[in-house]
Amino acid sequence: MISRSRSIFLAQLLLLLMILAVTSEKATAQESKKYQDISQLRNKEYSLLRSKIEWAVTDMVRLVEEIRRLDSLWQKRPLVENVEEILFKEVEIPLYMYGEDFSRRVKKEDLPKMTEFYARAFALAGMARVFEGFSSSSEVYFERAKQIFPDILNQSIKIDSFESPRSVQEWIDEGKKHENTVQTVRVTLHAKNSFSQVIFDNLKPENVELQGGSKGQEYIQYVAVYDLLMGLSRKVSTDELFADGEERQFFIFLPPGKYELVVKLPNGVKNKFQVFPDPANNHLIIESKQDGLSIYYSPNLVETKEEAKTTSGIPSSSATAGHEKGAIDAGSSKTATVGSAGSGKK
Amino acid sequence: MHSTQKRFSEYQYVWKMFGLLMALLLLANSAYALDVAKLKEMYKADDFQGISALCQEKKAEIDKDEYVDRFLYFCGQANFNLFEKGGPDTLATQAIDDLERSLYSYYLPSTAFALGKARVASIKTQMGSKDSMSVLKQGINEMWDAITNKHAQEDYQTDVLSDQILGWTISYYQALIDGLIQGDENTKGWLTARIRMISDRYAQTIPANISDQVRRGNLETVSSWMRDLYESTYFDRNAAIGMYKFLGERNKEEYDQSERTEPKFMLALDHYKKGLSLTASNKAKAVMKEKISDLTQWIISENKEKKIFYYRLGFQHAKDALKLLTTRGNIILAEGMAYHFEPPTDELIELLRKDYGRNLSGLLYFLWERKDYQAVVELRSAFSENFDWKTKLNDLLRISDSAAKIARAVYSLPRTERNIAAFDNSKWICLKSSYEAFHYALNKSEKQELSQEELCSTLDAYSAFLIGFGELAESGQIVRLYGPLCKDKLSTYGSPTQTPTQAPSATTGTEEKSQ
Repeated sequence: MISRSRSIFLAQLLLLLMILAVTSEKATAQESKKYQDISQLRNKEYSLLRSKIEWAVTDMVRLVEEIRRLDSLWQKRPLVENVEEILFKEVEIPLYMYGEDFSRRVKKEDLPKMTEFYARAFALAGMARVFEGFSSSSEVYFERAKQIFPDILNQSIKIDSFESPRSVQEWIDEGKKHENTVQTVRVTLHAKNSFSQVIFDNLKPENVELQGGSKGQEYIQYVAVYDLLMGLSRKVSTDELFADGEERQFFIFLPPGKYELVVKLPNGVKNKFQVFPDPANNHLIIESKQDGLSIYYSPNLVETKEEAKTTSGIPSSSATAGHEKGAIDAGSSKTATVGSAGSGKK
Repeated sequence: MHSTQKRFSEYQYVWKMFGLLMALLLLANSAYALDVAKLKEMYKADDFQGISALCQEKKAEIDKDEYVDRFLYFCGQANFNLFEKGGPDTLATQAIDDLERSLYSYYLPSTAFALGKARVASIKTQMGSKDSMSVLKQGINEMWDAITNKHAQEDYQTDVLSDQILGWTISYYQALIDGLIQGDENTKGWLTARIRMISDRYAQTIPANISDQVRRGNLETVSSWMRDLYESTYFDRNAAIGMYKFLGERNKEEYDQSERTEPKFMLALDHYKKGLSLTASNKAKAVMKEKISDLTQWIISENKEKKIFYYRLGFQHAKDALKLLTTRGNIILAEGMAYHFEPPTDELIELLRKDYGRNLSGLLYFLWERKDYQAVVELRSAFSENFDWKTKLNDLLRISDSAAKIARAVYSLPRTERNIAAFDNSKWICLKSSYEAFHYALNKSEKQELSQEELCSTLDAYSAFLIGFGELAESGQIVRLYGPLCKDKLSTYGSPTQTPTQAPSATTGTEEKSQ
């Protein structure tokens, strides 16, 4: 026989257990709802990410559409620059930001579509350069696009509101029909990460000039200076974005020939360098020097350049000169061939 | 006594402390003068002068304040507003400086947008120079960044854009248009693409999804403008001309036929004319001419000379455009499609015919009212066009009436050979026009497009003109033949002044502009 007090105790215990069970069930439900909410929010976050890249691609298409329509190089230029700005801001930065987390943020089933969007953005930047008339400078973008989405050149894309979509390759082929008569070659610049703020503040298009080359190359040289300044300020499309290493590389594009990089500042220095027909020989180091820039051949390429002198048709006296920074006096006739360094101060 | 004194001094102490506290509160209150909320209130009350002065006075304090970005935002906006109201250029420079510093301390889309807008406004008077183009580009980029950043914060999937974006869009496209029509050649392609980029943001909007009626209306309006803007970028393969067309349309929308909005009418006309002067294709020329002739028919003014001027202008443009599209129709067909989104030629011709008739009708009426009967009669060749318009019957009878009046005036002159010839000339013009009017009425009645009353009044007028000029046999035949159609509707034959004399109205001539 259970005493009354014990039965009351048992009843209370039972009640407590029931309350605990209900509370725990509620908590579990709440917890599961919380996870559901997080999952929904993640979906939302993903959809915003997708919308952003979709808009970026749409905007780039509008710019490429107009580049293709225009005739004048100088009219095309602001559009090409705009395409590259969008690529940097809406593609490079997010890719850098999300990095390896990217695949987690994107729904598994949507991953191919999303990567295709990003690859399309790179392809559009390449197409902008092709329709500008300089397909050699577009390769960098197509290489990046292929890294992300290997089959990108066969993907269909509509860049004209009134024409049917075509594959990226077909658009490239069409663009190449209107290639500029002057061909440019890739020049790889290795920038030392030691530029001072003063130099950045003073490096403006009106202060930097490329001299030399052939007549009628003003446009190409303007673009090279633009690419140079963008590269120095890290606003270019590169897989070395915000690299912490000693140096990072970017590209400018010039026809083979002899050039002089002039920084129009009181203590600016003049640098002479040569661009060879083979891009493998065009690796230059660029760093700050007094109020300006110093540009010289990469010491690592001494051997390559030795080979170049025999293959590129450049006289041996010029091809071998100035392997090292400051090795040649800027005022001497030898520097006019290979380019060098800081000693060229005037 | 001593204790009372002590208590008194205690009171004094308390009062002193209270005074000190009040002084501290006052001091604190003066520091409160730098409160952001206060600046906001002043801004809402349009006290731009007050804000500008306060910003100058408290510059050092503002720079050190935690909310420096907000203070500088209001300072910049106040200076910009003062500049916009005719202030010196230094105010624009100051506004840009304030907004730039605000943006550097804390990025907000609204600040970026205000900065871009101030930049573009600062070069408005000197657009076209190389330096101003780089400022324009910078300003446009800042405004665009603000719009896209704001857009990115909203839910793209709802297909609804906030009111703030709608407002910004208008300022933004105005900056793009200014650049396109005033800027240099090298930026036109870029600005064209930028217009298409902002238009794309509106392509997928579904205003019907919005429950709020005002918001729905706003979105509908801006979306339709954006559609027009987008299509205008293709106009005659030259976006700059398309922008003139677009600006003309927007100003025309604001003209409500009142004297107050007459400057909008003038602006619309000016934009259309500028656009027309740049057109290359016949189709685009015809479109711009249609725009002009459509606009002029809406003019309402106390000044009748002004009305005559605009109706004549509109009539002439409609006539020229019809010539371009019809007699030179083959040329246009050979040209093929002149540009994307061009209107179908048939539809354009329809519009031009309406404009032709409306402008002609207005012109005839006000010339007739001015008693310039000769000018009315000189327009009779306008009726040789093989198409109808709403008031054609009325207009033909007005020619008849004017010719009759000229004849009557000549009849009172000495009967020289010259005057007799002039009389005969006017008589036959009158009778030919009234004959044409009557047969036009018969044709229309046959097709049941004219009421019996109108047919009968035309018969009445025609027979009156015939009798007036002594052509009794002709009149008798006409009345005998067609009189039974009218039975008791025919009046006793009166004077030729029974012809229509009313001003063009909603039913007979130019219509009220439906806004």
